[in-house]
Amino acid sequence: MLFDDPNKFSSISDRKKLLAANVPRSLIDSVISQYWFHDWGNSFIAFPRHAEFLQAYLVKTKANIFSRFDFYSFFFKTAVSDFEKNRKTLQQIALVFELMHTDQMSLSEFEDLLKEIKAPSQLTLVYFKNNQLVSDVSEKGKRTVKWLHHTLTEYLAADYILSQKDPISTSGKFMIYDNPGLTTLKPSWNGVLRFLLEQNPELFVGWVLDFVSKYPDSLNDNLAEILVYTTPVSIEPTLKTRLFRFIFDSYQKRKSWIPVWARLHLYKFIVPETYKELKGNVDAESYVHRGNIAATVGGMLQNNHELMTAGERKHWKEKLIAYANDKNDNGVLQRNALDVLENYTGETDIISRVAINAESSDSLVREAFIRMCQKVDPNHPESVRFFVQAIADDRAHIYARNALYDITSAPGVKTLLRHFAESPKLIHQFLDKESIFNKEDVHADQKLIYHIRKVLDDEIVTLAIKIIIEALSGDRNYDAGNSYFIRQLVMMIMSRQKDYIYKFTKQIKDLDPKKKDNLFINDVEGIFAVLLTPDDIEPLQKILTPDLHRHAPFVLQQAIWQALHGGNAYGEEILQRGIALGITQDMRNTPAIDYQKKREWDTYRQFQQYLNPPEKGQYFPDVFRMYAQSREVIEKYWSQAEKKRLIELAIESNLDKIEPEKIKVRYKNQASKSGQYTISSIAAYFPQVLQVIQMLEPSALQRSSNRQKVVNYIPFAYNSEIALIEQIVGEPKDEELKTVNSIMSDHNNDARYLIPQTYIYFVGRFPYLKSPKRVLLSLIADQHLSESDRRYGLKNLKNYLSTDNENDKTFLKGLELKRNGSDDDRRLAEIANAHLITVFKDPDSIDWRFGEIKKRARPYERPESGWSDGADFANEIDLYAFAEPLIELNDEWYLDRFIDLLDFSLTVIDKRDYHEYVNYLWRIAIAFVVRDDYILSVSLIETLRKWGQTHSDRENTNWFAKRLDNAVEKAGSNFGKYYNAHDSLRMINK
Amino acid sequence: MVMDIASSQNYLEKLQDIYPDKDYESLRLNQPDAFNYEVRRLLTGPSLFKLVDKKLCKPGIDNDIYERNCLKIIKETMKNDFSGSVPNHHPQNLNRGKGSKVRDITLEITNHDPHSRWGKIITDHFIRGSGSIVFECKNYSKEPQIPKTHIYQLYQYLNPYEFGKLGIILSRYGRSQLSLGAQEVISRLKLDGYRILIFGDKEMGEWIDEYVKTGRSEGFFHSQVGKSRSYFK
Repeated sequence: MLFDDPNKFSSISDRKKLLAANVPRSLIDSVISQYWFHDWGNSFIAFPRHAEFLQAYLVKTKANIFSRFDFYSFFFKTAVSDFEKNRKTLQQIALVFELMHTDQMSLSEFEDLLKEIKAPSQLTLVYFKNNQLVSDVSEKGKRTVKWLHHTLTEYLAADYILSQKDPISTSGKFMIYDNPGLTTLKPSWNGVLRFLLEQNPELFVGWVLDFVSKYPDSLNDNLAEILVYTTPVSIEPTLKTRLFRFIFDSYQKRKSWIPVWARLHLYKFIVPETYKELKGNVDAESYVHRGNIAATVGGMLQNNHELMTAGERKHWKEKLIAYANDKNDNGVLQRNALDVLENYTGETDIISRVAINAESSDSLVREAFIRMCQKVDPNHPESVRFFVQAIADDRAHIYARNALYDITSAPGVKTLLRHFAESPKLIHQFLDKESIFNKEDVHADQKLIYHIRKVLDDEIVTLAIKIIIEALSGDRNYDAGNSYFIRQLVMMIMSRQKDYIYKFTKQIKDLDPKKKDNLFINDVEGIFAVLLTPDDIEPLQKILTPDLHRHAPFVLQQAIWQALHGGNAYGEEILQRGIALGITQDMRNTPAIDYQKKREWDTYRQFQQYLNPPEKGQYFPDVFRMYAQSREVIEKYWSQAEKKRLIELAIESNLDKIEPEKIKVRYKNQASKSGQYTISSIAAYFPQVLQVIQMLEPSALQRSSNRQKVVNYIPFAYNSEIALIEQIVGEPKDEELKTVNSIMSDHNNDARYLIPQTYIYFVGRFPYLKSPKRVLLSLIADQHLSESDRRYGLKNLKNYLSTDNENDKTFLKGLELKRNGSDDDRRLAEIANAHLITVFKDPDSIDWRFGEIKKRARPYERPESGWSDGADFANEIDLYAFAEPLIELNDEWYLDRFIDLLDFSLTVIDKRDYHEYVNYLWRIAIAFVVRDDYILSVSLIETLRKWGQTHSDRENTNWFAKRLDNAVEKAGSNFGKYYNAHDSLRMINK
Repeated sequence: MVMDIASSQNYLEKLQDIYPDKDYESLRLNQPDAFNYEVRRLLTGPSLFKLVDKKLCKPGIDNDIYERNCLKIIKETMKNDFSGSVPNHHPQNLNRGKGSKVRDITLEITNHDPHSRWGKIITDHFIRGSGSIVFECKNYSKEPQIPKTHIYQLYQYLNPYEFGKLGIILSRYGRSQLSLGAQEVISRLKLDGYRILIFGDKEMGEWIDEYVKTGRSEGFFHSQVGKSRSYFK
C-alpha cells in the first residue's frame, strides 16, 4: 500500500515482488531509486499493472543495468495494442499535452484533438481507456481525460524527439523559453529531458551544459538534480569534469545549498583534478561553501569512491569534525558534517569530539548527532549516554529511541539498563512515548527486548527488578503496568526467579506511602496479570489486603480478569480459582446485548412517538430533526404511511404555513442588543423541516413562493444551515433578497443582531448581487454589532466598492482615521486601509501601510516548542496578510517602495534575532514581483537580482537570491505554456 | 507519522520559501520525522497557538470565533489519533427551542490503536469501546463563573453507550472559572465514572504543544485524565 492508497504498491511491496522473481538486489535498488527520485509519492510502478510489466521486462531482458527508457519502450510495445501502428499519432498527442503543461484536458477538447490530427479511426477514447493509458473522470457534469501517469506523455514526447533528424534542435524548439529578459529551459519539460538524458547522455548533457553556461540563471534545483542524478558515470571524462565543475561552482558562487539528489550523486563525476580543487577549498570562509563540500565528500565516502583512500578518509575525518563543531548558528553545515561522519563506523573517538552538538539549540543538529552516534557505535557507553539523555530531556526522543534498538552487546545493554534503573526521568519519558512506538501489530520496543534477552544474566535481572519497581512507583507513570517493555522485563525475571511475584509484593510493602499510592494508580494489576499462576491466588489474597493499600483487593480482582484476557497461559484456571475464593464473579454468562440494534430500534421507536403521539393528529416538531439525523436507521424500519405522514407534516403543516420573515427576536437588554433573547419557537425546527423536504421532496422547495421562504430564513440561519440554503436556492437574485435586506437594515428588528455573519457570508458568496451593499454599510457602522461581525462585513464590502464612487472612499477614510483608537477601531481601520489601497490606490493609505511594516520591525525567534507570545507575528511572517494589499498593487510604478523595504532590511540584517523579520521583508518584495504562477514583469526580476548582487557583500543576502530563484522556478511552470490543443499542434508542425 | 504527499510537498515549498537557508529538502529525505516536526513547529503550530490568543479571540465577546477555533484545533491536533474522524460542530442553538440536546463539538472515536493511550481512556469511559467525545465551548470572560447547571447540561449529553462518559469543557480561564457548585458536581460525577475535564487557554497551549512535539494529542489527554483524578480534592 502506498501511503493511504490501498490500490497502489509501496516501494517495499515492489521490492518484495521483484525479489520473489529473483531479480538481483542491486538491480532492484537501482529500479526503486530511479522511481523514487522526483516521483516518490506517485511512482509509475506503484500501479500494480505497471509493476507486473516491470517484472516481466526485467525477467525477459535479464538486464544488468536498468534503463527507464527501455522499460517504457517495452511497456508500450507490450501493453498497448497496435502501438507501432499508432506510435506517431500517440507521440503527437503526448506532445500536445506536454506543450500545454498538463496531463489532462476536457473530453470535448480531447475529441477535437483526435479529429484535428486526423487520428486513425481506431484511436478513440475507448482505445486509450482499454489500453489503460488514460482515465475518464467526471466531476460536476464535466468529463475530463487524464493520463494515468505523467511519465507516459513524457516518454512519448522524448521518443518523438529522438526519432527526429536533429533531436537537439527539436528539443530546443520545445524546451527553450526565449523571451526578452528571460531565456531558460522550461521547467515543465524536465520529465522529457530526463528521458532524453537517460537515453543519450553524451548528446544531451553537452547540450544542457552549453545552454546553462550561456544562461546561468536558468539552472535551478530541479534541473541540477536531474542532470546529476540521471547522467551515468560512464560519460566521457571531459563531460564529467565539465558537469561537476558547472554544478558545484554554480552553487558555490550563489552561496546556496546544492540540492540533495545532486549532492548525493556528484561523486560520480569527481576525477583527480576536481578532487584536488575540492580539497583546496576545504577551509572556505562561508559555512555554505563548507557545507556543500562536506555533502559532496559524503557521497564519495558512502559510495567508496576510488580516490577515497585510507589517508584521504583520515584527512576528511579531521575536517568533518571541525565542520561539525563550527560555531555558526545556521546548523546545516553541522548537520551535513554529522551525516557524513556516519560513514566512520567504529571510530568512536568521533563521539566525544563532536559531543558539543548534543547540546545544540537546533533540534535538527541534535538529532543528526544522535544518528551519527547510532551509526558509529550504538553500544559505546558515550553513545548510550547521549541516547538516554535525549530521551530523558525529550529533546530528540524519536531518533534516540530508534538508536536504542541498535544496542546489541552485553556491555551496551547493561549500560542502558543502569541508566534506566537510576533515572526516574528517563523511565517516565520512555513510558510516556511508548504508544508512539508500540502499535497494535508492531512493537518497536520488541527489538530492544530481543537484544536484552539475548544477553540476559543475573546482573541484568537485578537491574530489571529495580527498573520495574521504579517505573511502577514513579510519579505520573500512569500506564506503567500496561507497558510492553515493563511486562517483558517481568517475564524475563520470571524465567529466572519463579518466586518473583512474592519478592515483588515485598518490594511494594516496603515502599513509602507516596510511592505506594503511585504504584496503585499506575495500573500495577497489569504486572500481576502477567505474574499470576493459579497457585498464587490464595496466598496473594492474604497479601493484597487493605492493610497493604486500600486499592490492593481491587487490584487482585482486576489482575485475575486481565490474566484471562491478556494472554496469561493459566488465565481460565486463575479465574476459576478467583471465583472459588470469592475474589470475583464470572460475568461472562451475562447475556450480551446487541447495543447497536437496540439503539437503532430505540431511535425508530422515538421517531414513531414523535410522528404519532397518543394525542390524535398531533406530532412533535422534533420529528424533523430526528429524521434528518438518523435517516439511515429510520428508513430501515419505517412504513410508507409513516413516510407519507412525515412529508405531509413537513410541507402542509409547516412549510405552507410558516412565514420565516415573521419570526420574532427580542433581546432582553435593548441597550446592548446582546445577551439573552427570545425567539419564535418555529425558528428551532424550520431548518430541519427544510432539510427533510430537501431529502424527500426537493422539488417542493423549488416553487418560487417556497424558494422565497428559504431565502427569507437567512437572518435566522446558523453557519451549519447555510449550506442547505445554498443547495436549495442556488444563485439568488437581488429581488429575492428584498425582504431579507429589509430585516437586516431595520435597527428596530432584533433579528438583525441575531447572526449577522450568516447574512454577510451568504451575500459574499454571490459578488454579482448589488442590493446587499446598503445593508453591509449599515452593519459596519452599527456599534451594537460585535467588532468581529463589523470586521467581517467590512471585508465583504470590497465586492461593492468602485473607484468612481467618492462616497465609498469617504466612508472608508472615516474608518481609516480611527487607526489610533481602540483595538477594535484599529482592526477596522486596517481593513478600510486595505480597501483604499487595493481598490482606490490611495497614496496616503499606501504610505501608511509601508510605514507600518517598517514600524513593526521586531526581534523574533521561533521557540522549539511551547506557547509563543509572538504567534500572531509568526503568522504574519508566514502569510504576510498585512502586506498583501501592497503586494497586490500589481503595478511596476510601486517597485521603488518595495526596494525601499529591501534597503530597510539591511539596517537590521546584522542582528541575529531580526532574521525572521528580514526574511519577511524580502518575501514581500519578491512576492510583489513574482509569486505562485504570477510574474509582474521579467525586467523587475532582474531589478531584484541586481539588488541582491549589489548587496552580496552583506552576510545572508545570498538567501535573498535563493528565495528569488525559488519563486522564479515555481512561476516557471507556466513559461511557454500553450493554452489549447490547436495552438500546440500548430507549434509542433511549425 | 505519515503525512500525505500533497501536504508534504506544499509544506516543503512553504518552508523553503520562508527558510531557504535551512535545506529542508534534504531533511525531508534523510530525517522525515524531523521534517514533520519542523512543519508542526514552524507552520501549523503557530497558526494553532494564534487561535487561543486572547487578543485575537476575545473572551466574552468572540463566542462564535472561539467555537470555530476550538473546532480547528480539535481537527488538526487529533487527526492522527483518530484517523478519518472529523469533528462535528453543532452551533449553540439551544436557545432556539426546547428539548433538543445540542453538543457544541463531537469527535467520533474511530480507528484508534487499542494499545495506545486512547485505548486505555476509551476502555475506561466508553462501554462499547466506541462513541464520541463531547466538547463544550465556553468563551467566558474572566469574571463569570461556570455554574453547576452547565456541568449538568454536559452530563446530560453524555451516556455510556453513545457518547461515553468523557466530557470536555473548553473555557478560556480553565478550572478557575468553575463555581464551587460546579466543582462539587464534577467530583460527584467522578464517583460514577464520568470524567469532566476543563481546559483553559493554558491547557490548550499544552495540548497544541504536545501535538507540535509528537504529532498527536494522546499524551496530553492521558496526562489530563491523570491530573483529573486529583481535581478538587
